Amino acid sequence: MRTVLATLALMAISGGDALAYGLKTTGDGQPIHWATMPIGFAVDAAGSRDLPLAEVERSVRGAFEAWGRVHGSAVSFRYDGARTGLKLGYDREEPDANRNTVIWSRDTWDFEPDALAVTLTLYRRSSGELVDADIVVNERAYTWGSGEVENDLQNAITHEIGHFLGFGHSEVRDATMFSSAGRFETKKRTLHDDDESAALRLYPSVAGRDLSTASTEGAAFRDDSVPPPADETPRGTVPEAPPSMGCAVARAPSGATALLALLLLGVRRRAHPEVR
Amino acid sequence: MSRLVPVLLALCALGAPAQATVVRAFSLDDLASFATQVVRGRVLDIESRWDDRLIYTDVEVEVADCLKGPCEERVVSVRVLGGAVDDLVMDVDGVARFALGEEVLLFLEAHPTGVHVRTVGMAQGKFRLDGGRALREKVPVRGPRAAEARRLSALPTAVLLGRLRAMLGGR
Repeated sequence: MRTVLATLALMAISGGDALAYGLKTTGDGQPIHWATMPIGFAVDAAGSRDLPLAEVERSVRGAFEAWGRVHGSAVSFRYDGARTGLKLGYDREEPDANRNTVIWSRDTWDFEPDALAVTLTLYRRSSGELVDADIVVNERAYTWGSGEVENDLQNAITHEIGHFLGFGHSEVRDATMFSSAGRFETKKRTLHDDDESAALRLYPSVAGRDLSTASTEGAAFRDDSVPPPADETPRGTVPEAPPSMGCAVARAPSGATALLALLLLGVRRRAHPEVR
Repeated sequence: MSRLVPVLLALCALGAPAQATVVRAFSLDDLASFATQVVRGRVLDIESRWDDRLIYTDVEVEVADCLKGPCEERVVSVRVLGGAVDDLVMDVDGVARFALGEEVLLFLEAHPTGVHVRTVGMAQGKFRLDGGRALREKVPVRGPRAAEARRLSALPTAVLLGRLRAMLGGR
């Protein structure tokens, strides 16, 4: 018995290999989610101080693509291009003019000075439906790069897109949605099974139609065919999409939790045999 | 067995969900140093409003004990990015969250507005004092102080305040 308890305790601490993603919910328990696909996003054409715009776009698109190619999930994105005039937040007067954006904050940073990046989401309290999401990258305090650098942009953005989609943090250390990010880390670029399980649970393919297949073939990850407004002219070269291109927290049942529940039920049954 | 069950439950609770942007970990000494004001008090009022394209929440806290000055004001106004107005909720990972009537210990610094203050290190700068313990939201942090920061999350209030007074008294 002690061995079993020790194993349970270890699993509870480590998270083990159990699925442990978190879904954000409204106060009354409705999942926070996007109701329609594809989800559009645009990149600040001013780009990063540290990276050329083409590299920024490659990193950001690669990050969205990771979530868009989960087999069996309906998540898909539409790249609206690198644009000028993007603003953080939401314009209530002109709702249709709002875009989900990835922008850089260079000279000013009104958030916590030591935060790497911040994701703001706007959703309807009555339904949990997301209406806007922006990711702000802190370039005032951090230097960004691609690959074996202290702060890999794609690594960070892939994590932030999880929040953008309505996911909380995972307890699985190797998951993209694990809460800590080490220096020189790139593993979050690739989704863990736990991240994919979250995508499948919140955004399953509709009625057997596998939308994720469409996303890998460009239909769900396409450049906006509608010309942008005059003040949001795309700038720079938009690289081709790489091949095979994606409160409260409700938590996935972990193995440790389930085993503990069984254990406690067993204990209770011994104490109260009538419990079934 | 009966003694082990609460331990196991506690271990599972350690893995409870967190919502936050990853920030640099602050020790208690860091929090006390970076804060321009450290107060203990009770949340009197919470109001969210649109300011241009963003929703902010202003939290009025009645000061019961001022551990680091300025200490002239009996009420401090803490500004938090995010909040709910009508049917729309702006959610920002990592910010401190408040509830009406809760007793709190706050590490505060100037907000860019110049009028309000904000918590140091996002949710790291806010402790809820409840049942003799100082509880803090699990804040995803990184850096050399991460382990120390995590140990701060559920100390007895008396221990936390004692350490804090010793630190601040020595400055």
